[in-house]
Amino acid sequence: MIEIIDLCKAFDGKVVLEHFDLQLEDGQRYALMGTSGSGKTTLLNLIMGLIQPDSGHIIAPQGLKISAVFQENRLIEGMTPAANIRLVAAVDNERIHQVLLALGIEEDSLNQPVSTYSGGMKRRVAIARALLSDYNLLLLDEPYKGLDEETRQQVIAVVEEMSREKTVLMVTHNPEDVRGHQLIEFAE
Amino acid sequence: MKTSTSSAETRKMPFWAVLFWLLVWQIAAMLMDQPLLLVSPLDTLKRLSSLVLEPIFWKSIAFSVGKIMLGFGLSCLLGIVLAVLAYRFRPVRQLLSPLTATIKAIPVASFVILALLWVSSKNLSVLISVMIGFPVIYLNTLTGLDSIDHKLVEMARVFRVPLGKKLGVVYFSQVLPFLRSGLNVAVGLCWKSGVAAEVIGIPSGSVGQQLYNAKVYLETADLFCWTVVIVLLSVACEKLLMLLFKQAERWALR
Ligand SMILES: Nc1ncnc2c1ncn2[C@@H]1O[C@H](COP(=O)(O)OP(=O)(O)OP(=O)(O)O)[C@@H](O)[C@H]1O
Ligand SMILES: [Mg+2]
Repeated sequence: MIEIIDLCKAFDGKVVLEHFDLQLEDGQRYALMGTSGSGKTTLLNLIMGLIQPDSGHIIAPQGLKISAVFQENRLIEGMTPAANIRLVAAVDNERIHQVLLALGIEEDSLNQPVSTYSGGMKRRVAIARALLSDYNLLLLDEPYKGLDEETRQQVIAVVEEMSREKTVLMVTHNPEDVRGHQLIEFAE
Repeated sequence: MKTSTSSAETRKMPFWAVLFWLLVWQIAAMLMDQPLLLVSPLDTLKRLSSLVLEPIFWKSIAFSVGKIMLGFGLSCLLGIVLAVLAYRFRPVRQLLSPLTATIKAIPVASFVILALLWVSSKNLSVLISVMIGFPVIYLNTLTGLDSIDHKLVEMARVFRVPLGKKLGVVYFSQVLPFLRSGLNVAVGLCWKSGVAAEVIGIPSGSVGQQLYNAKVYLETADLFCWTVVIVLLSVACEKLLMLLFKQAERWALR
């Protein structure tokens, strides 16, 4: 269980999180919704330890391993998807390709550097990387943005299948994504 | 990726274009008909074919390649190590900035003459290559390090990428294009300045001495020959370097 207690965060005097509390139960899926600029990405950054809170605590168990799809893809453009994924995950190419194919990436593009990929393809590589790394908490920041409806459904199926039993916290603007998740509404 | 293809495009040298300029050179030489001033490409080639039979030709090349490439190697070592230190520690960067700026502004010829006071003419081209190559490699590497996308470093941290892999992949992959162009420019500069140093310092048995002698004895064909040889050596070193670099790249990003 991850416990967030009385968290406060401001940027240059602009308050983003004020006395924020949240509990994430193991193996639960959460969907976080809120207007643009309400601090959703900031919360994920705090959980990942990329920024420090002004006050309050995040209590996480020993051995918490986080995986993430960031709001931006954060891929190394000059490398192939497999090289990007092997950077963070101890898996072989066969498994990587299996997952990428399941996400609808075409076989022909697998050996091309990510720089040659379209936005939606890059997004799916970032998703594959997050799914294949070793984790028990998965943070997803608008993971399905930029995917067409059909692809989106295909990707959602893979994500839900592969992250079963794991704790998942997903930021989304799409009410449809909430199904199967516990909703956390973010007030500005 | 796009930038590298477009720069490769501007560098590409079609055979017909090379042939055209060789032809211009040949015709100009034939029209002038003054072999003391302008030797035709054919005569240069003819002289070259006899020059390669002389042992001193290969000895001079071995000498100069050895010295200049030693200088280049030291430039790489110094440039990269100091760039990493300057990136990590602000005072190092501040300390080095007047130094690199000064070195870059000083003309090669002043350097050579100054350097002759400090080192024997034999090792002159090593020192000069370092002085000229080092700032280029240092500044390119530092620019590359400064342009590292911090978001990728964060990504590596979140995914608990081990330090070795983080340095080898996340940092190296981003510095790579800067390092490549730095090395590419530096190797050419090392050659030009190294040979210039040899022409001024005249270490015996060097390419620079051959060039100097050719000028003193008005052996214009030799002068052209050696110039061609220097250009070829410089290009060969550059090509070899890029080949090695490609291997390193493949290994690091495998
Ligand atoms: N590093 C930073 N420096 C200054 N201000 C920041 C920083 N990061 C976030 N902010 C500010 O904090 C607020 C919340 O940003 P955040 O990115 O968390 O919003 P969000 O809920 O993820 O929005 P969106 O749905 O558009 O992604 C914004 O007003 C933003 O300008
Ligand atoms: Mg956001």
